[in-house]
Amino acid sequence: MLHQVFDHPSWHGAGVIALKTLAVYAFLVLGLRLLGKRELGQMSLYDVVLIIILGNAVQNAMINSDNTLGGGVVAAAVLLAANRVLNEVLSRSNRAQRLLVGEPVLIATDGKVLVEQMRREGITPEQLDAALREHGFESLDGVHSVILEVDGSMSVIPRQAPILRTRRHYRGLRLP
Amino acid sequence: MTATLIVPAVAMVSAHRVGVQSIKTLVIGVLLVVGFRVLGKREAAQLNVYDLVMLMALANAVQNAMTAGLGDLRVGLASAGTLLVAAWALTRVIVRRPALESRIVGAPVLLVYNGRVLQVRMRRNLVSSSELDEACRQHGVASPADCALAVLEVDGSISVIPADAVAHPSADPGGTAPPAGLRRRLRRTTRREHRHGH
Repeated sequence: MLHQVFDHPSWHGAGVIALKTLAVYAFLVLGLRLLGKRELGQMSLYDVVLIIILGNAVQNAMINSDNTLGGGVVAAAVLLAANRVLNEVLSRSNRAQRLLVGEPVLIATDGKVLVEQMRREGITPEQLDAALREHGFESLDGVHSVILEVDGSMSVIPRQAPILRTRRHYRGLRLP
Repeated sequence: MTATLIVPAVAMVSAHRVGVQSIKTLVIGVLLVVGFRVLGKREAAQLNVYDLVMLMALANAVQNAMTAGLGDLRVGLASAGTLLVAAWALTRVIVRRPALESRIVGAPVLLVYNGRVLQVRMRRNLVSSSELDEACRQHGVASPADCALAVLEVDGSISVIPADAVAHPSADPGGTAPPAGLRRRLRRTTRREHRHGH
């Protein structure tokens, strides 16, 4: 029974699975980057469905319809390792982060809405108002700045906190 | 009628085979838990789209190893049942022995203390500086320099306590001592950061 549990593909087969899995992951990262759907927070149900069926679509391409335990383990390990490498790169290089994940955008500052930035990011005035209300503000009075984050959420920084008055520049934010 | 529905005549699978597949499922479950602990990212709550697609592809990559690609109902039920029972058992073990929780699930990690970013911790937990900046802003704090504390929680989210909140009388009349549960960890962290020259 044990040899049935721990069956494994040939070394050659395992290598093929590893390379195919790597190629599939690289393709998915590239494809998602090109489609421009990076904001997880702004994903609609359809985007999530797309990602789920993407996973199904690439299944046999990764494991070669290999039913062995070893095959699954090789593919899983390659995926985890590739994702780890990607996250290492993202956490070290600000350039990679900008390129693959995007960067935060200033939407409003000092009581003024930056209309151009808002238009470019596809944020409607209703969405801005909703974000302000979520943070307990009725209008931009008392708001130091509003920032669209890379995950699609909007941060609202109040003017009140004493330390915020002294701080003009945010790290990692390009001011207009 | 019901019998043919439950056990299709085409692919009769032996009980032995079902047992083999549930053991395979268990092996994969254990390997995935270990794999995520070693290679995975802590910030489960801050998944980016590439993490999500990795998860989906991962689930499919191990599918055939668990079910033998048979599409057999009994095999499916056996492997699903194995996973459920294993998850239940793990929860029981953690409830009985809380000390194991930090080993298996992880413990909260201090990332910022009194406006100072603890770089070693940041790197070890794969938190980029822009992710930390983002977490601060989402809590209404302009930058990590204005945090009393930022903590990477077990669930992967980053909690932020603004610098002035600590001075609030109800929070801590004495000064800027970190909240309970983080004190011991903090002493160790600051010692280590000191050695690394941060």
